[in-house]
Amino acid sequence: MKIWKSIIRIWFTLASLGSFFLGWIVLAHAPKPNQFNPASLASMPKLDPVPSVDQIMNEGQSQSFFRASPRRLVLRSGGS
Amino acid sequence: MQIENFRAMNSQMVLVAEGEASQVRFGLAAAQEFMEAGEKRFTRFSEYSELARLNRSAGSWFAASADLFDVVREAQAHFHRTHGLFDPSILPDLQNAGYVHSMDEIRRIGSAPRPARPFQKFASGFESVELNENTRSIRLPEGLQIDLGGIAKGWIAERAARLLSRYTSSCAVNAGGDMFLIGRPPGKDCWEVGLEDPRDPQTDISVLLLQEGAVATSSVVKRAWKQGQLSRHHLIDPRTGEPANTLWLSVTVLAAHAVTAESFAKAFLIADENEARQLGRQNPELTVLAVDKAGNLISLVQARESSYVHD
Repeated sequence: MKIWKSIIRIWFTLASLGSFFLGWIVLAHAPKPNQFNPASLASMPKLDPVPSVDQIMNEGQSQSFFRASPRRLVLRSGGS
Repeated sequence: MQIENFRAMNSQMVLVAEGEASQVRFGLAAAQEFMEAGEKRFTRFSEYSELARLNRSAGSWFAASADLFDVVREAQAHFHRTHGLFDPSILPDLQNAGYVHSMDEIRRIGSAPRPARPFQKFASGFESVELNENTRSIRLPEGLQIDLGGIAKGWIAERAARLLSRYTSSCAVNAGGDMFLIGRPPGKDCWEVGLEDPRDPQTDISVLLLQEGAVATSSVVKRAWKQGQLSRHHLIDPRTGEPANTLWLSVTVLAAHAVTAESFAKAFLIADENEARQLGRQNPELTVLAVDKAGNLISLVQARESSYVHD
């Protein structure tokens, strides 16, 4: 009985150490995240420059930025 | 706040209620069932409705249900209060104008038919309708036909709201513009009710802030159709038998009861200036708002104990 306990303890120890080192090796050889890839730049969208506050205030159509959206009430009376 | 939407009486129904969730759900189901049963009873578009059977019985006594008897009694009281401007016996004129199918059906077809032969207008009017309280029976004069469309909708809205209020702390029932409000919405002093712009029903011309009570709007643009080349609407002027030529596009009335709000909204919309002034003097407890053809909101009558503010 005593010998079996010793064998199981040794087995758990070896299996744990083996798994740890195996994981280490796998991660060490995996590709690193956030590696710079110049090819990916080509697919990024180009954005227009953000207008300044002065531009927005001076352009008539820019008022839509500030127009409150009309509320849609649940209860409405419109005629029968 | 739980909200229930469904379609009945050719209109959109909206029930709003606050309270314990399971109770509210039960109340909403009960109110919806009541409204759908009311539609079946009062519609003139089904030959099996109780209203259709009453119309067929004209000339003899008809044993009515308590609900039909109550609505006809209210209709007669408001016929007298509005000096006949609210008159349910305009049904033959309404049919002459092409309103022979439900509004949903007319919209689907695209226009209303001309009747094969003009319906007869009868000399005896709604004042000749007899009611016997003891036997709960009604006698329409021979040939008289009635339409309870609007007033029945108001009556149903108020009854449904009172039924719903048994299960809720506050509630509102909107039956296609005929509305009854009970209590206050949670965390607020009053109900917010959008007043539709008759020229653009997608937008509100104003927001009414209301306490308990009834709101009803009558409009000449909501139920309108083409009959040949003629533009028609459902607001018949009982003096001419034709769709009324009105000063306003819509009139909204705030009152204690939905049948009062509904019948006076029609009466003020049909009335000329003098008649409107007279109605206003005789009914100072009402608040009456009108939208003119340019889209201006005008207060025709302002109740002394006013319970509304509009923004």
